[in-house]
Amino acid sequence: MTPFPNSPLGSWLRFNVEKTEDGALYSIAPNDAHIGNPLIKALHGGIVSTFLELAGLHELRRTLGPDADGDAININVDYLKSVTLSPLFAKARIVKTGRRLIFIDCFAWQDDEASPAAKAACSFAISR
Amino acid sequence: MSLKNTDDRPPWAEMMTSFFSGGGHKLFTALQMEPNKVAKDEVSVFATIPGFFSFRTGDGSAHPGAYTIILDTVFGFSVFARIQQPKAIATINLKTDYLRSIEIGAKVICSAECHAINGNIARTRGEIFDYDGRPLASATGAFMIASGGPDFTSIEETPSI
Repeated sequence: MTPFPNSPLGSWLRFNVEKTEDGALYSIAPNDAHIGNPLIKALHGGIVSTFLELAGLHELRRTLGPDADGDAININVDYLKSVTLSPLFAKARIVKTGRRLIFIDCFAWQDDEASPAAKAACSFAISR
Repeated sequence: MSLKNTDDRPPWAEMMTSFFSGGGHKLFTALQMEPNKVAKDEVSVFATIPGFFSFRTGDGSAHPGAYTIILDTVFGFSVFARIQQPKAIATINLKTDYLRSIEIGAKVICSAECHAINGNIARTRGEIFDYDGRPLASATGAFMIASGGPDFTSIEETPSI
């Protein structure tokens, strides 16, 4: 599996993947470089979107195997509440896998998994 | 590059421009974001894709999340341009279609407008192009105006990040 956590983007976001009983737990550790609104020190919406899509792509490879890759087609992100500069966690769920396309839903939270901060629907064209 | 339509610039446009200048905002500085046009019906901003968006070994392509950072930023400023007030706003939704991948270091321009406001919900749309005019991404966004946070008139009191 391509080690996204070791890529420049993974390092910049401090992206991490932890294997869990039911799949994978993704996380980033935001800092000042990721702030969108400096008045409330909120994480930039594009950072949240990038994280969720990266989690989705990792989930694609985790599910389809290390030789699989995905080219993102689009992403639709709903921002449910402001995200602060504390660790942000995410889980991804494969909604549908076809021969050429895969649809993945991701959601993110900070303090409480039951109180999500953002959710995203991602679609990828599968390449091998 | 100099800002176009200086005759049309509203007073609050200085606040917006200050966001991108002087290196006070780390993320905008990293993307070398520079306003090109600030008008009620359009905001456009130049940007350069930084190296830390590399995510595939042996591949010079940038992760498309870079597009969403640029779009969310320019959309937000298009809302300020439309309402002509530096009120607190929050992104509710961002839908982005990726049309073409891009290399690290590429220079792009993002053009956006806030085309509708209903109550306290603003709608935005925009695109990113490369310098050859090829479309890279298109997006729509929804923002809440007066989202409850401090408005941007207090920006001068805020330390640089």
